[in-house]
Amino acid sequence: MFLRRLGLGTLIAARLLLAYHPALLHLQDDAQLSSPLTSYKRLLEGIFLFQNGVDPYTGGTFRHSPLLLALFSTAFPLSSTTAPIIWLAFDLLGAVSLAKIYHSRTQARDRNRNFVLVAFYLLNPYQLLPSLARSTASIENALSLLASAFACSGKSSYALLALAFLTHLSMPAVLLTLPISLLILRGPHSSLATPTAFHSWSKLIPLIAEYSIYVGILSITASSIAGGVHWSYKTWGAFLTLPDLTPNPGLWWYFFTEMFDHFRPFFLATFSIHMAIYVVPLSLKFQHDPLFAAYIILGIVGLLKPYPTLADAGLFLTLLGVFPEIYQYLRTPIVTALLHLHSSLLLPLFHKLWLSQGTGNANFFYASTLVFALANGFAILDALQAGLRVGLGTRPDGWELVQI
Amino acid sequence: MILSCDFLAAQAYSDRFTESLVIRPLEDGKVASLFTFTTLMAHASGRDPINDSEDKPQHYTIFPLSLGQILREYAITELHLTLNAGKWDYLHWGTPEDADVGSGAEMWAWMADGGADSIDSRWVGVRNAVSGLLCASLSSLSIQRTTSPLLAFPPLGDLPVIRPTNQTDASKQYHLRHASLPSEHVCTENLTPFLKLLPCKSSSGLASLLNPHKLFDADWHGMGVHVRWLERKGVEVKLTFQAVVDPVRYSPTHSRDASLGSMFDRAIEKPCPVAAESMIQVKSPTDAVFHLSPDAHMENGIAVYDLAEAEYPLDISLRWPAELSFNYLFSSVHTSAPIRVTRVLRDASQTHGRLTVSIINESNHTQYVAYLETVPWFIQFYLHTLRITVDGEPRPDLLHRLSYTPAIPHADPTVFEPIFTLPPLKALRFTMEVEKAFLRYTEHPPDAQRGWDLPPAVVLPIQNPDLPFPISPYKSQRIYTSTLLVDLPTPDFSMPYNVILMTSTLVALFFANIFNTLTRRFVWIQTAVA
Amino acid sequence: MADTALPAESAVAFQTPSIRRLIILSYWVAVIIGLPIWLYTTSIQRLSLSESQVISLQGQPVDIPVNLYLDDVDNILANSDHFVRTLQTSLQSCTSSAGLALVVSNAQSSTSDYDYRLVLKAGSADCKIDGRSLRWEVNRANKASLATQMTATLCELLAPRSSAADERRVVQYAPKVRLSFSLLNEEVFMEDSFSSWNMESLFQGHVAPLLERLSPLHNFSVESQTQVYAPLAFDPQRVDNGHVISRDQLTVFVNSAEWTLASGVTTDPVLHFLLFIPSKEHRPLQIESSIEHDDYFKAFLVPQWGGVVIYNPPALGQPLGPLPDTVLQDVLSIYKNQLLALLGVSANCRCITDSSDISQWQLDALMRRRTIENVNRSVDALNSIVKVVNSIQQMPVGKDVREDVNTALDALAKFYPPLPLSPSELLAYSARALSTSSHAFFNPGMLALLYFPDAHNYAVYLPLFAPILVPLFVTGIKEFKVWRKQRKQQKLDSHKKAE
Repeated sequence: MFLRRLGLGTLIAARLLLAYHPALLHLQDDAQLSSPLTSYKRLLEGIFLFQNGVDPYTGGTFRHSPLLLALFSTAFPLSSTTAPIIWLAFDLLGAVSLAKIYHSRTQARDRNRNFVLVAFYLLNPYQLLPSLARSTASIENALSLLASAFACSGKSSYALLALAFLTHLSMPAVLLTLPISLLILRGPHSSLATPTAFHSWSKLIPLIAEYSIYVGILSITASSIAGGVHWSYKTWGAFLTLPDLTPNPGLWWYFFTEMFDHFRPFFLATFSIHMAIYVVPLSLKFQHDPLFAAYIILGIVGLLKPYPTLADAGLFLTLLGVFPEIYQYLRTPIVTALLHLHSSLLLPLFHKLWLSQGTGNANFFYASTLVFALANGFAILDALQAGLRVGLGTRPDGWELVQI
Repeated sequence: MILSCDFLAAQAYSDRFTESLVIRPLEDGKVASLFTFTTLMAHASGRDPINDSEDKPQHYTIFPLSLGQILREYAITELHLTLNAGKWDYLHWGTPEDADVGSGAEMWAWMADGGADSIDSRWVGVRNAVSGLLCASLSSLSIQRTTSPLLAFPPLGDLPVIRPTNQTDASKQYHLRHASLPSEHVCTENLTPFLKLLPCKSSSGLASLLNPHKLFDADWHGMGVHVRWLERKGVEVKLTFQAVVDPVRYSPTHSRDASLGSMFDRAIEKPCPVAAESMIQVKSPTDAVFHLSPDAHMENGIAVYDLAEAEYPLDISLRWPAELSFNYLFSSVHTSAPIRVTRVLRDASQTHGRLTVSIINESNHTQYVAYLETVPWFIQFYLHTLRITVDGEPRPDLLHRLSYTPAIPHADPTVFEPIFTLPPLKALRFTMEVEKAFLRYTEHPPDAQRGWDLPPAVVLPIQNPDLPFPISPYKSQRIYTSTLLVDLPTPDFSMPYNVILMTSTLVALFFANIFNTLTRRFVWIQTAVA
Repeated sequence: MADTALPAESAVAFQTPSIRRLIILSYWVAVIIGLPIWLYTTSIQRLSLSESQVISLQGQPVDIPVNLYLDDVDNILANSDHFVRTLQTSLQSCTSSAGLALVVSNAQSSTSDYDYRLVLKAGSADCKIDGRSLRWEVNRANKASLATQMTATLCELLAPRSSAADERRVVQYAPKVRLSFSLLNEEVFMEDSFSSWNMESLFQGHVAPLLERLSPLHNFSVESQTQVYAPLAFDPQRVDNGHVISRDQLTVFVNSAEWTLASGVTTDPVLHFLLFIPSKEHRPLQIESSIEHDDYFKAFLVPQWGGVVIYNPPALGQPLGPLPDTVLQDVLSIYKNQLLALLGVSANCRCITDSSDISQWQLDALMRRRTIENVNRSVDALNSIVKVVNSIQQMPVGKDVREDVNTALDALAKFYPPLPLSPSELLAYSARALSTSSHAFFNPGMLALLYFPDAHNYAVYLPLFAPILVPLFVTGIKEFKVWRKQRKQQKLDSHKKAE
């Protein structure tokens, strides 16, 4: 008990120490940790313009939600003193939500396990570094965990409101509506091993309607903050049209840098639809355990979204801790781990070689994003197969499970 | 030869052409010369875009028809174009005679609003037409370079009130469009059409000195076309050519003696008969014994030659008889530029940089300046990182006022226009972080590795920073910084199909695996009997 | 089947066939939603043009209706109906070849303003034109050749023939024509040179009325300039008294490189009128064919381009100044004739007494000729558009092109069959048809994408869509087959049960 508290205290202190360390300030410029849509510097620029009477949404620098603009220009003014605390608070919120999800799922009063999860969330480099870079991706992660945690404990309105907030920050989160609503209806208990069909689909409709109302209200609020609806073209529109081609660990930026102008709109639509295409099949397949469906969809969105950061992969890896029942069925954990290790070395190295040293070229970094995507793809696929595999149980030797 | 009085009387009611050449020896032994050719079309005014049709007859005598057509077609009230090669050295050369010395091409126009065609379509039209007229490539990159700065480019003439409405304020009806293309190279193919705009072309008068072979070898040269409307006078077109030549470089004995012959490889053979006034002025330096031949009429320490009374061929020579060879000792005391500006991009990687500008007030009283930065969209400013210092001390109070238009990706440029207070004899320094954007592969120029030239920043000294505007009332001389070459990160231009193939394969692989996992069934198979 | 033997697996909730089918269906729904987006974002916009309408116009001759009324005021003709018929047949050949549908009839009380009247009067064999009527005075004694004489004159008036040389001279029709007058001094001197001319005021009195008269034909814009250094690009040949320009040199007389004549702002045709004043060394400058005429002025036409007047001023020692107004007046009257020739106005016929003016008949004849030319040219342009669009499948056809084509077709509809409109109205419609059809033909949007070959399309699409669509199709078809078999089985079962 005491040890856990001490450990948590040390962890928070260490995090704060790191966050205040001036040598780590340059992380804010790192495009792998914060995309143009989550960058702290751009957030500051937007707030500065907003406070000085220039509409931040006329230019192309600021693409954050007006909600963040209002939040950080009034309630929580950002400065080098306040920002680390705010970001730590969001991380703690995320960590606590994660522990809560685990608790609701397993019903186990395992405090050690909770501590391990919290520590993993706070120390996972894919989460830690974006948080130190003050990327708003950390806020997004905290919100998606919060929404899931509320859904797990059956607080449907809170869950949907948190999800609506998340949607305002990052549009692809709209894809989580279906699994989260399902989660509210079916509960968080692990049913991977005992799949049962879901029959009352029509109950989803009021939940989705409630979510739509929240999004609508938030949009009206955002429009009144920004003084018009043009913010939506700069924030949500950026997810669909990819106006900023700053390199990130995702698959879109180089593809659309090199794409011919004639095909650009079509492939933009294709990539967006591709991201959405998994939602219904996964929700159908995992109707017995919607939290797992949400987990896989989070992973897929993190892999396929237009402006991903390392935080998206981090969230997927961290959430793996909530599903201990699938561990024994993972087939390629070593490959996945090695690929992640490989790409986490290659990404910063080639980014630096290309853009700081000038000794490499764009292909170096592009190749490492492909490795990173491969790592994430393996992880998602493995988790998905393991999740299905759980339902089939085990048989004695001499029996082999195949897919036909 | 003396022009008869009848001729002058006949000219008085129509057009009037005057020409002048100002020669000024510089501190560092070079010689600056400014040719000015001014044609006034008396009692004419620009086309009113609302009430006048383009079909009204146009009769020109010495006003260049080809330019007149353009002004009329696009209803341009005021038009300015400069094409300069090289960087004007304010430190050693002082203030230029003609202020607009920004490197590359720069063009701006004031236009009255209204009528069938919009301001922007007329602006595109006039750019294309002027490009054709002077064989320059101004038409490229039109919207990505066009801005409407508030302060730095005030109208130099008057703006006619075009319709008697309630708003008698002419300023609200007029719009400015400005663009600069710093990478434009100026050469003979621009000078030839330029000379054709002159009534005497290069056949006689001062323009006969404009010898492309010699001029394009100069340390600095530039040409300008300035059209404005003056109330009670008419439409005035001023063609300027400015050059800085280095006689020391040509002289075998390193002397700074110069003459028209040595600078331009020509003497003036005959005057331009249609010029109402034709003058050469030599601003004599004060530092050493200086001799001019032939003898000139002196006015306020400036030697003046009237070409109507001169003997031909006319070759003016400047000599420093006491000097055997010239040694340049720089002393900042003599510099006459009251304000100097330097601009650099520090800590530049391919993605980030820090714009650092220092504005030095050389005078011993407080001055106000309007600073103007217009950069293409791919350089994004972080305004919140703006730091103003004097002698290392932060002085945010020196920022008097700021107007800022953020860039729009793939389209409009940034316009950053602060007004600063400059304490006497101090250097104001401001820094700001900038980020470089990533361009689509089709947006890069063919020589993408060369980098992009950022247009020069402009500083305009102003007297009273609190005057209200939409139309800037400040008519002082602009000061230009040098251009900046920035390199942007480039993709691999040979890759499109490879990238399409590799990314597509990865995405398709992922899709197909998930699809198979979701649609196939798990089945137990007995492989061995237990 | 393996799974029937082992019920445990299909009992697993997510392995049921219904879920499996729903999953496959949901994939297909997404694909079907994607299809219109694919079509919308990558299709080349090819709006259909009124193709059949365009093709039907090809080769159809235009006949402009012309009505001529005979008004036998003094009852000279014994049988006026017979005379009308004779005139109709004899005029047939010359009018129909000019594209006119002439109808000659006896005088009616109600005729429109643009019908022609032929007024026969007794008198001394003379004719006179007044507006659109022709007063023909007939000597009663000499009635025999009346029809022949009249046919010749009317042919000349209604459908004037022009020689091939004249045709080449005439500038192509455009609704707007820019007239550019330039005073060019080969070199400038302190005396007997002209730095300006009083064009502004003299033009108003001399040329403007003519332009006003021609205004139904063209919309003129006028500009003038003077240049003091306008050298020749060649050396004229020296002869005893002065210099001579040979025939070959005439073709290179206009020194476009040095004389800034070209207009950069419009694409309207420009007619240039130059007044060239030779340098003192070259005076008097003559043209080879007309040396003998000892005149101050030498003039020649540059076909479809403009007119040139060379003026050798007498050595009077006048100081540099404006060109004397009397000289400019003479020059302007030469320009007027040159302008008429360039625009294709037919020569005066004997019935026209006031030679300085253009008669309504001449103007009408020219307008009709231009109308027919325009109609033919725009029909050709429309046919070319249709042909090009049909032959190149990747050529985009946008809204503006279609609008232009439709406007042109609407304007052309006025001619098939021709409506009874005034010549100037007809000309206006034909001009609209011409300008919109050529605007459509030169639309820059039609060039996009011509360079993107089909093979590249596959290279862009295949890497992503082949591996995605193949499993979708295979699984979809397989599942569909299973589903159908099951239904058949169910039916059979239910039949068996019923039996």
